Amino acid sequence: MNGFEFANPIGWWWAALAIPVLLLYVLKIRLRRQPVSTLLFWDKLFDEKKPRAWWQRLRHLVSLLLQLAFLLLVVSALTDPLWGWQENRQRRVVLVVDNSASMRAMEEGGRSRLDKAKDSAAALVRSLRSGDRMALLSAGGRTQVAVGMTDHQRSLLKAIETLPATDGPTDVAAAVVAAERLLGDEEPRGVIQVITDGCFDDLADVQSREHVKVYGVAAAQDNVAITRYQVRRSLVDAVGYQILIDVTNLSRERRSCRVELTLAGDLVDVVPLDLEPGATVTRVLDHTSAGGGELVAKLDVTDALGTDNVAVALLPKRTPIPVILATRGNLFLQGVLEAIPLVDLRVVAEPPASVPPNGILVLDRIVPPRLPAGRVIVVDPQDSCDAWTVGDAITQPLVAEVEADSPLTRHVRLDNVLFPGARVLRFVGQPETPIRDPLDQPLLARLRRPTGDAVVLTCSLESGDLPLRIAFPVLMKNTIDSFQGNAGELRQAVATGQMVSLDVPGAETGSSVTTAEDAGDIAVVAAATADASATRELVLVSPDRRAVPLTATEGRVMIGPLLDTGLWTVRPPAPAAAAPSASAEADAVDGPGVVQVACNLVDAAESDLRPRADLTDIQGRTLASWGGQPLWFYLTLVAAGLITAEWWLYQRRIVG
Amino acid sequence: MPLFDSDFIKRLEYLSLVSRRVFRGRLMAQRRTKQLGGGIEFADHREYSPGDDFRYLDWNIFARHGDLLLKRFQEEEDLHVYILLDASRSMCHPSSEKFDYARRVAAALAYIALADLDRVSILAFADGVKDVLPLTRGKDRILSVLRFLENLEPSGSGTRLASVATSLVHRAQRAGLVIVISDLYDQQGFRQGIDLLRHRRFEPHVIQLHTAEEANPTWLGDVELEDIETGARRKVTVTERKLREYRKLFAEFLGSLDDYCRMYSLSCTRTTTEVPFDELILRMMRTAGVTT
Repeated sequence: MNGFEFANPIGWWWAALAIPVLLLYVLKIRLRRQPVSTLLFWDKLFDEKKPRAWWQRLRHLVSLLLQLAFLLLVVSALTDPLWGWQENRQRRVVLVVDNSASMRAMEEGGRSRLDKAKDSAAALVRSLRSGDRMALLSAGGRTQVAVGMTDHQRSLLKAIETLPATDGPTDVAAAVVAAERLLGDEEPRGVIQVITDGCFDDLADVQSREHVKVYGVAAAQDNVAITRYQVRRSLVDAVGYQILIDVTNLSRERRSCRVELTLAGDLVDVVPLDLEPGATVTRVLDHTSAGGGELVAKLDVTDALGTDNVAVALLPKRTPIPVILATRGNLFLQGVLEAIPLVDLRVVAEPPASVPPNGILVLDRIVPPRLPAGRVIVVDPQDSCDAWTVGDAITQPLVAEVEADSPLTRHVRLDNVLFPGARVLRFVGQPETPIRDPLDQPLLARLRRPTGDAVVLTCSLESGDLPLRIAFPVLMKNTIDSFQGNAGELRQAVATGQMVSLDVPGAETGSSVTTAEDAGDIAVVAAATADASATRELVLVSPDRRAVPLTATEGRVMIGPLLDTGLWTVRPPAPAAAAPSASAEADAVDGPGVVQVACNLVDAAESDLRPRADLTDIQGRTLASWGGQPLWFYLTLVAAGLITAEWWLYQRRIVG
Repeated sequence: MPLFDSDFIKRLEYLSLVSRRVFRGRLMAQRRTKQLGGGIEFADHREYSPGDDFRYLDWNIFARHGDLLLKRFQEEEDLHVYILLDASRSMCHPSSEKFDYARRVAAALAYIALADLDRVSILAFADGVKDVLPLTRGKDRILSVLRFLENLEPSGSGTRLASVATSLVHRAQRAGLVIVISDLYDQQGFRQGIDLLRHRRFEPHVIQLHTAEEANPTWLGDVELEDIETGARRKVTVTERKLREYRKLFAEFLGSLDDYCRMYSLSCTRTTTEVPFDELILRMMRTAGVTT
């Protein structure tokens, strides 16, 4: 120790207050005069009980000395004294607070790691000296500058207090790089203080950096986490779906638990798990449901971190497909269509003028002159129409080639099968021909149309044995599945911290298409398509129902990084009259044009609540001197003690 | 505001009437002295001695029994009322409230006595006799009494009741009722003076006056106390505990006064200046202290 330095030596001027104190003491010697009628009683009173203790005679002097000592201590505190080893210059500090998902873990005492980190950060801020400057960065999910370089302690404390807990992954390394950039090369070099739980893999790299001090706020804790979770519709079953789930035991001990799966609130499955320390168990679960919704997996364990005990995924809903069969009687075809899941079949004698929205029209031997807009299957066409011309019967309608890659002929085996009654078809345009005869005449063709595809099968079902083969229902199911497309098969759940690009269907565009087709006006469809390239105002609703406006460009929108687990919703803004408030904006999460994304922690590194290295505990650390407080604090404390002693003396003297 | 205004005179008259009606037969002027002399009320007989006045011989007894007995009569005398009024400086501290009160009480008692045809003398005293209103008689003298009281000013460097008592017993022609109106803050003690009066066959009655502040001071802290009479000073630190002890001491002083008066069958009245003076007079009469 090389003595003291004073950060604010001007404060010594306050020592001049000793003069009035002394003057007041001198004046106090001239006591207030109190006339009394007689001294008889007072003499008796005081002569009987004279002060016994020697200090009672000196108490006025003691009082003066206490007052002077109090003044000296207060003035010393005002000068902000520093120990010799403390730097008497302005300091620059960047405080990086880890607010990643692992910081939500609860420590002993029922407080989260982030709460402890905030307390420690606030203590650091309070220990700043006059003129010191500090910036605050958060390192959860993404680096964010909460407060730039400032010496305004209240702003720093406010920013620390409002620092949110996130479910994002730790990104301390990036935050430290940003902090270094913030400090720049300006002299004197600043210090980067990192407060973290140390639950990230590049901790050693961060610790090895110059001017970086990493402090820990947490002890190692056991945890069991869902580290992967996805759901998809079955590729072979229209109402089936598969759940993929990984559960990892990040504990030192073996753990047993169960995973409860609920779909739209209804219990779907309970899977018991027995997990060795450090082991990951993977389960693929098959279930069926035409309904969709929120598929939630929940671990029934009690551990430090609750965020990774719950995962959510979105199961696309299977809606019935309205299919109209226009036939004069075909039990084979009717039976096959009825057997296909989700098909809502209606049999009519005459073909309707239009195809129902999202529906399919099946024409059995009936061909109108103008093929209706929409998705159409034509079986054994007898007449020509605007899309093709019917020619002569094929003499040898033997199946010669079946394209295995075509979605229509997937799993279809038709070797040497005759398609009796097949006729030569000349299409307008170039159709796909997944099944052809030896002369490359199409036996099954798919005609792409802007208004909806048409699939044509030229074969008399009543003449051949095709309906008796397993290939026929497979062929019809493939056709219907192909019409439905892959939409809704899989809505991938994303991990926190990721950016997500979403296709945002315009509700207006869909209705425009239907209207255009009804009117038979293709130009309207083109206009609607062009409209989709324009920017659109949307609303992003977070899992905790906070609504944020965003803009979609060319039918796509980029959101993220997503820092909260749960369901994120992108939807058109509610009409002003209907939803004037932010809460109402957040409430409207269903309807046309609404896209949802499931977001989970699913990060084994983040769920591992064991620090990767030994860290210095932040508890009690400050930027000040011993005991976590600056020297002036202790001086003020002693001064308070002295003034209390003086008060006690006064009370003893006066009140007795 | 004058000390004795017309309202005060009316209240004195009221007090006089009340004292006559309520305490009939016990007023000051109707007291009989024990001295036998030339009265008209027969007392007893004694044997004739040569030289006695024949006019007082009881001829009836001589005629019946042949004994020469002389008739004796009880002599009626005026009661001498001496009012010793404390005019020391302590009586006007912290204001003249206490002294004014004492003067009103003195005036009231003097009025009642004069109205009953008693002789009244007032002695204002401090460390000695300061002023004297000689013995006077008759209700019409009340104005001179009031004038005398009004002109009194507190003075002196102490209170010495013994000195006043000595002076009184020397100058008084006859013993009588002595009413001491004082705070009794006598540095030598009030007993000596009262004892002297008692021994000289005076009938002392003590009226002790004090203010509420004297009984219950409230100031605290480091103060320099100054005796308003002697000018003596004392630096003290007054604490709550000291105040409690002071109150206890003051109560003991008042208690010792009561004990003293009870021991010698003396009348004693203690009051603060907060009690209206006419109520005090009536209370005194009720307890028959002054008039018995």
